[in-house]
Amino acid sequence: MKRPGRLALFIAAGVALLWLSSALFTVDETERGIVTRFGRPVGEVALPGLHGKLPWPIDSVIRVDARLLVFDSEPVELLTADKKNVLLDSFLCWRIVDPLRFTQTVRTRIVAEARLLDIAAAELGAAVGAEPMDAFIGTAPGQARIGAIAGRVAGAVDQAARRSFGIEVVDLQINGFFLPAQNRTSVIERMRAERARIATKYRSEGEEEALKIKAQTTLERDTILAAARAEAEAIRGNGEAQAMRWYAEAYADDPSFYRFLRALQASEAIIDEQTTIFLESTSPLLRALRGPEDNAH
Amino acid sequence: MRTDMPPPSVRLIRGAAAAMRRQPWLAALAAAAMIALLTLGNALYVVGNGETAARRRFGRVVEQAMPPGLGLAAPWGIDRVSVVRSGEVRREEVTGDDGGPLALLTGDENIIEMAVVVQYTVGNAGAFLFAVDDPRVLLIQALRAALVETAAAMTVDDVLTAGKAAIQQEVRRRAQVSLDRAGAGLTLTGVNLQWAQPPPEAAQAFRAVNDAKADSSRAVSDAQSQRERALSLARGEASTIANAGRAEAAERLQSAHGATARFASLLAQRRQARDATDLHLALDAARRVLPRAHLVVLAPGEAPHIDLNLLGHSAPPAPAPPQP
Repeated sequence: MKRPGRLALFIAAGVALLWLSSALFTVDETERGIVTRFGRPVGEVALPGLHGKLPWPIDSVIRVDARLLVFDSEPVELLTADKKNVLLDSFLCWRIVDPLRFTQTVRTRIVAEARLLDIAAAELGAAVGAEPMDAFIGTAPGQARIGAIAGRVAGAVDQAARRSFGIEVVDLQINGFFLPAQNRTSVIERMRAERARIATKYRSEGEEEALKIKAQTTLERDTILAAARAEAEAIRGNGEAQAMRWYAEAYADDPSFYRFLRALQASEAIIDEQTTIFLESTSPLLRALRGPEDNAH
Repeated sequence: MRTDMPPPSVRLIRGAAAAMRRQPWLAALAAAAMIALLTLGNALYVVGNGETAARRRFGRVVEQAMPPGLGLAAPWGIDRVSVVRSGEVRREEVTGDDGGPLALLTGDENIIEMAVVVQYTVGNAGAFLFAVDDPRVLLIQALRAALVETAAAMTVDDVLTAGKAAIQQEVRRRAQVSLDRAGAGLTLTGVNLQWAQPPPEAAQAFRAVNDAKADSSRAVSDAQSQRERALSLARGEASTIANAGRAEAAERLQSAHGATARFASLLAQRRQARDATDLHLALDAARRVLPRAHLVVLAPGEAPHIDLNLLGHSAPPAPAPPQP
């Protein structure tokens, strides 16, 4: 009868060891632990590491997630201050900072996120409703303040969630700012019209530029030609003056002979087929010609 | 297949058991050695190249970033080593809610669609492992938020043309700020805007703008080339004009030279024989001039019968008879 007794002792020792081991528990880096004695929380929140408690069934441990949790909500349609519909999508990062309060109020992540969504939706609706469309989008420096507005909402949600659920909202950002589907067609229409206007603008700017270039070209061409004509005139004038000087120098020797020669030359230029010359028979010319035959022709 | 002999493994175990019964200290030694070996195996860990590990003791992180190599940790669940491939460049696509391209609203209220790929590494293994529930989801959402904010401050033309690099830079900066605020332990190494396009319904209109731009610059460059041509022609014409002037001046000078030379030589001749030269010159001129004209010889004192020649040469005046 010795053997069965020893076996029972072994089993009893094993069970006792197992029971005693329930007095130890570890909390992972990703968690926080709350020790409850018959359901009532006792002591401090257990940080990551090894901890002791009274063994089962006196104390038990509730573990809550200590990590940053990302909650992406569904897009909601909201109205801006200037009555424009926008489709707003947001996500928030939250974390349990007061595990006790958290377990008392919302207990699970799903419930917590539903509550957070309620608060965030209300705050976002209020924030969007207080701002006109061009506070969210705009190309002027500092005009688009989506980030700042989301930051304000995050602050408000954080305050409410901390107080009510022991939740810290680390971040709330708008990860979708768009127009509702029914507005799409009109926006596309406007985009098309705008593009058409821009295309026309480009075309007419090109034409304008081309015309300017042509006008400039005409101006420059005329300037070049005028300068060339002026230069040519100047050269001609110089030539003429030089020629005159030569004439004057040459003819200064005998001005009367010069006049005589010029007169002869001029007569050559003046007299043509249309000219009738009256000569007296006594003119020196005819006298010089007088000879045996009369050729006064 | 009947046999008296059990299989060799059974025989080995039976032999070992018999030996242990004979020498219990040997059995204890063997058991201790085996436990020691198993413990050692349990305590050893390897962090490979390009990996980082974090060690937790009883759940609490005691070492954030263990470098590559062989290491020892407390065995049997006391320590746990988690290895992260920290050197690996990971990649995520940022898409819209339906998995398609991401549709954004630009600052000038245009719709733009884009495909974005982000590359990142794990900068802090401990944070990556334990700080955030799902770092990948956080990363994508942070990028989407950064894209929304960046696009909201740009014009559609900037997004489509010159702004690509600016978008990438700005989105990366903003998303990294979010990730750091969340303590996600992720480092963005690159944000790549694969493409950005207007929605398909408006694509034609956007192409038309590009066409117009091309037409416009073509008109300008045509005008430029016409200008080049016109100015070349003008310069050519200008040199023609100037040369004509030069030629005329040269001709004048030449003729002046000739005339003065002639005058000089005639003058020299005349100084030797004055009357003969004059007469010769006069007759010479008359010979050239008179054949062209009508000649009317009048008696001394006779009034000329002037025909204004209104009827042309059909009715030439009757030549007066020369005076004998």
